[in-house]
Amino acid sequence: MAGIREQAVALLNEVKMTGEASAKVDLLKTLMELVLYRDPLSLLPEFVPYLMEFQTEPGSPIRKYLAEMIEGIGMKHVDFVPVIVPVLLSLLQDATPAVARRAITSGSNIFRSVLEQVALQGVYSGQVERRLVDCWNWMTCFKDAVFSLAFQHGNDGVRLLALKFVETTILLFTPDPNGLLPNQQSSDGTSRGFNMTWIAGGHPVLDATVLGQEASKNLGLLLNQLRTPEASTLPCLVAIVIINSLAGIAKKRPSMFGRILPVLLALAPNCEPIQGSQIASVIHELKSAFLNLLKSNQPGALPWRDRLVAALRSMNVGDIADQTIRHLERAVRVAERNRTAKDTRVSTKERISPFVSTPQVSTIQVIAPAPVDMSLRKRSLPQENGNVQSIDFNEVSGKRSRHDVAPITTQGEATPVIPNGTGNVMGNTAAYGDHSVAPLISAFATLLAQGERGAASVQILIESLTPDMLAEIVIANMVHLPSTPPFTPEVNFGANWGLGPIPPSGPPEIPVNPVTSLPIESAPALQPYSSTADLSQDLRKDPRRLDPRPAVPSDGVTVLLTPKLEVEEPKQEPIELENRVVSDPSLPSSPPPQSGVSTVPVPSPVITLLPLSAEQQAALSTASLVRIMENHKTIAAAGGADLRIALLARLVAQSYEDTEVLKVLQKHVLADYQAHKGHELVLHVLYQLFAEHACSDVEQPMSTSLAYEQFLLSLAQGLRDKISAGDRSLSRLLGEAPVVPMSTLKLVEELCNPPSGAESSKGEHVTAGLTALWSLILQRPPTRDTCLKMALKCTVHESDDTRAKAIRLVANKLYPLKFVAQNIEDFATASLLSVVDHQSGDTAERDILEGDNTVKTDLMNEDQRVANGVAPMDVAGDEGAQQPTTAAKNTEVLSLSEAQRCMSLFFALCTKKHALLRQLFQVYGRSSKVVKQAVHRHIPILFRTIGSSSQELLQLIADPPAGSENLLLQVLHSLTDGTEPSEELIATVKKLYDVKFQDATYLIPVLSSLSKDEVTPIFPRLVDLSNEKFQAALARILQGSAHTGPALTPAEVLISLHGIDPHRDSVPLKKVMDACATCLQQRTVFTQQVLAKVLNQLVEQTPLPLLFMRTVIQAVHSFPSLESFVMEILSRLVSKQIWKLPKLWTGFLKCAHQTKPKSFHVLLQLPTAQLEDALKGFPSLKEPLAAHADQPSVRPTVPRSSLVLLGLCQDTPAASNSTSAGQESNTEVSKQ
Amino acid sequence: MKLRHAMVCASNQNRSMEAHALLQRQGLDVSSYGTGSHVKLPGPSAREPNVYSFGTPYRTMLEDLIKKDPELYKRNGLLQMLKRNLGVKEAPQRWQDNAADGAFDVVFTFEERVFDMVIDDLGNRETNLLKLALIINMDVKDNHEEAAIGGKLALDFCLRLEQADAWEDEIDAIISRFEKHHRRRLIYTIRFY
Repeated sequence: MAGIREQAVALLNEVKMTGEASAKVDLLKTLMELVLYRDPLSLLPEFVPYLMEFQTEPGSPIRKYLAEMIEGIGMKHVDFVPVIVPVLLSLLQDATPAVARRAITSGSNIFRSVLEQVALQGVYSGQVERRLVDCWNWMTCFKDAVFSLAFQHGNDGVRLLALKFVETTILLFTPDPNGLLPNQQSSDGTSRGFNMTWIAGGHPVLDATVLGQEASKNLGLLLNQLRTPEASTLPCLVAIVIINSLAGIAKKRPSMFGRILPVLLALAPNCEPIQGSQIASVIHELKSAFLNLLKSNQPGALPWRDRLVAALRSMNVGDIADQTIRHLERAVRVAERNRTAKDTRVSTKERISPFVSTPQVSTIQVIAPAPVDMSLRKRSLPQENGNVQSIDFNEVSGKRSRHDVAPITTQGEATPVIPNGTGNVMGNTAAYGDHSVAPLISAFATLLAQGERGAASVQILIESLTPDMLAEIVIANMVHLPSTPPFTPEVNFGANWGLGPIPPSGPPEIPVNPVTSLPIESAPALQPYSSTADLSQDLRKDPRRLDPRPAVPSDGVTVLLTPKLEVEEPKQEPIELENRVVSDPSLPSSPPPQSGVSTVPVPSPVITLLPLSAEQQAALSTASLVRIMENHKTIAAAGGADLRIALLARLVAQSYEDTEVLKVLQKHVLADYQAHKGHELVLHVLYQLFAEHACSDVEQPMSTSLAYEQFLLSLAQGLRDKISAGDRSLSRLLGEAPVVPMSTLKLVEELCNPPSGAESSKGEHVTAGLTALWSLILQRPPTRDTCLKMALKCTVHESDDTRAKAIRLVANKLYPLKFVAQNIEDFATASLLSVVDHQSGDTAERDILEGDNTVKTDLMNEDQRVANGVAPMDVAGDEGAQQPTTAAKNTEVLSLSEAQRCMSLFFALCTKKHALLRQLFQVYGRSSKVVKQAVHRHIPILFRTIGSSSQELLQLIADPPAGSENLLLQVLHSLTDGTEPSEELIATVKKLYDVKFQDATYLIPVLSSLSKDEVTPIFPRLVDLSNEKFQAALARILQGSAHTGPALTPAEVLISLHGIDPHRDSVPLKKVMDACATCLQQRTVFTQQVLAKVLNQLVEQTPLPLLFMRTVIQAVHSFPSLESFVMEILSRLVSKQIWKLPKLWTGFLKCAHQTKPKSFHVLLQLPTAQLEDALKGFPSLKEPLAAHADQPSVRPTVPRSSLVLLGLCQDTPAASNSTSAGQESNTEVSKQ
Repeated sequence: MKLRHAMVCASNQNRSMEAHALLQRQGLDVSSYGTGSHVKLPGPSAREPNVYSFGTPYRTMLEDLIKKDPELYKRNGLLQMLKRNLGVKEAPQRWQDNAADGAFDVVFTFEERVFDMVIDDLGNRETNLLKLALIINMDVKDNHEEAAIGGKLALDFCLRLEQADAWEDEIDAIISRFEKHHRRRLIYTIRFY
């Protein structure tokens, strides 16, 4: 073990030492082998942190392999998920697409594995360990991160995988109808069969409903990608993958068929919304998706078959589609023939047997509709047999006995009945094909024949059918209805439920029971009903015909059939209702044995109608409505949600006079707007109401419109109270409603203008209100002006938050729209001008505001005066003088915040339309100080957004309006602050300087980007600026640009400074001196070395710069350690006969004086005459200098005359004279 | 970039093998398959094809044909083709049975029907590797001349893919350039292993 660890450590070190990426990967692979497979328990905890450090490796193959390692670790050792997923998250953002792709793949697999573990643990033990919950939370983070990749336009390859992951999660989060239960999984733990149904019964961590909703939302996102605005930018590659994903989802999750297919069908035949070079491939993908779905032949797909075929025809592959259909039909026919050839019931039973086996019911029920597709059936049977077979065997004996029990008559009679029924159906609904229903009908018949034992199966069968299929079966069965003229179903029902052997609160099998005793042979004797209309008419007519005698309270027997029953038994399950609906039509054919097929109406003296009071009726109908609404889940599961919504809307709209009904609906909708399909439902109702209003006569036009208006308003209020961040339901509602009345618009306006006070909590309201305004402006031209005004009003709102949001909306979303742009611009300009000119009074609102404020300030002043203890008398005397100042103050106090408030929108617009800037520049000159202040505050952000390449801005800079100079400077500064100015900007500024202003101030901002050649000519002008500006300029020059380096080095700056000729360059000498001082103050920049270099160069110049000595003195003053260097300079000056330049000579002496005693040897180098001059200037030098010269080492080097001068030698003047004369003559010569 | 290529036609004899041989010679990682239910080679008449099951070695077929009618099969090029094939690999392989061969990055088909069958087959497989596969079709007539051209084009295309940093990111462009250059239409799709 220890050996392995050492090996691993050695490997790790080797990895770190190795330079080449591929070698590193190889080593890492070996390391992984050791750590993950040889001894994971002891090595992993130690090595994982080291391994994770590789995320910062520069070589992308290493990071890619890291993602792979993470998968290995995460899949095998879930404990490390919290450590490795953060790394994975950062790898998702990796700049190398291959790494990001690998990260998605790894994460997907870990995601699936963690999800399965969490689910299994919860299912088995009822709780989930904390660490596993942590892991799950991390995986959720991962999921969200990948989702954001999937729906943004980034790297296509990464997006493909992210989209695939979205598909995977949709499939994971929705129950798989063909999936297995956890206990049916293979025990090796490698199964990938996680199924949402495992946790359908409840789970401590995972909520099936929430996950289902998420899946549905994500499906919506996927679908949106293929709709027009998104699709146009979709690369073909991505489109192909999305289409394929959607087709896959539709195939695997029949419940989503209805959502996916319309979107896919809308793409046929040419995938118009998608653009791209490879559109042919997209079309092909769509074709194969359609064919695939057509072949899948699910019950959910049946209603779409025609449209699929039509779409395929339009894509020129009709023949293949027809072939597929023929193939499918042939399969069905073959199956049918087989079935009829054998004993009909045996085959039926084969299919139904799974239902009877109750433990399996929940998983297998969805297969129930499959009898339609015999081929598919055959394929799936062998798989199922493994699970079901044993039960089948058990059932065999039961089956046999049932056959025997079944009435012998069925043998002869049942067969003719069924074809008869289906023949009828074929006439009406050829589209669905008769074959689909026939086997089901016979299945029903067989089940019903089993009596109570079959009841449960019937229920399950019904649940699993789509509404269309169910309707067909009902219609097909209607031939069995008795056609006796005095048809009184109520009485019969009553007889069945009220008086029959079964009590009204009986178990669910009530409707089944009578059928059991149904003598089917009676059916052929009856004339078939031609349509449902007849039946319903009869149903409606009948109650009136009944004798409404005061009643024996026979419970459930009244006008309202189902609702009435509900009142009696509110506990009944929703299924029952459906159940009854199904069996209703067959009921009449199943009167109690005694009444039989008789054409004589059953006399029913005891049964009478119980008149209901209005309240009761209302309560009943409300209760029934509530119940209908509550039923949505069952219906949605059966796939009839759309139909339900349409029907419900019609129902509600028809009884609009009953406000209660609308309230019930509203309550239901608002309870869960998303899950209850609130938007769709409400829109249906609104349109219904609107249609009623449009069609209604003049007599009562108000009521519907009133109902409409109230409904919409209260709904909008309800939505408002539930608004959460990002919720767009309100704007969707307003955008899609048929009409938006003024009252609702007012509500929106209130939303946008929350009363001050509780502002923090109303943030979402404002957002929602503004979003609503936006969609109204976009989608409803008639309300456009009103809404725009509202939105604009918000852009000058007092609350910063509201204002900012409104401005964002107006500037970013609305301003680009051509039809409102001018209005917005006008408004913004008007409000800008209003502050600038501050005469105000452009809008009434502002007037009021100001009036208000004036009063307030007055009051404040009053207070102040009182507080200051000024006698009122005095005030009265001063009144006249004080009035104007107060007024002036007023405007100022107002404007500070006010200016910003009114100008923000304009600034925001400027970023969109740079031409507007001119307006700003034009008014700047005449604006008040406060307004300018406000402008200055905005400038940095504004111009950084605009950038320095905007043509409009450049033009403006080239030709600024009068008065805007200050603004221009500010702008230039913010444009160049921290960023590289663009070429154009530099050119423009230079032009501005050359042509217009000649003021070097304007050049300062761009100095850092100028080259040495450009800076040098303007340098004197910069020196001529005020010291402050020069400092700024200096900083810019020295800073330079990022890639060209500084325009001038510090040394060059100093040399340039010395090169300035006050006369030629017309710069006062004082300025140059100041500039030098400024430079030397910056000791960190103008260092000792810099100075040395500069002095070295300067001393070589002829003539010597005027300020040279001054600088030398300053240098030595700043850096005393330069002294010895300076001495060298001084002696060079001596050799250059510095005394001939009087100004410098003074400086020289001064310097020498300051640097004594070091300067002594320099002084001694001076010719005697100059030495004398020096001693004259600084007599105090004489004594120490003499002492210095007297040193034995020095003395021989000093000329005699100097020694004499210093009083060290009193020798013959001749000798001294001769030497000094000789020197003198020498100097004379050189002077010549 | 080292990609795994698969060349697929109906019988894994002519078009896919031509491409297989070419790509192999260029050192690419390549396999080849057929999607038909049997390997069919032309016989003495259109009604009497020679039918073998997948997995029958090319050598066996060669010997069989020589035994039957060496003149005919030499004339129609079958013998040369089989000789070429047995130099490349042992026996024709069926696409639908290749799950054990692992995931391919590129699947190149030579007929739309074959393309559809590959897609159909991949749709029926378990997808859990989350590994992208590019399925691409170029229609090539099933005769020796066209197959030779088709093989070269397939090689060119696969080399273009190999040269890309990541074909996932630029496949539309790669195909467009290829189409423009060779004036051949391609159809592609993406599947996941």
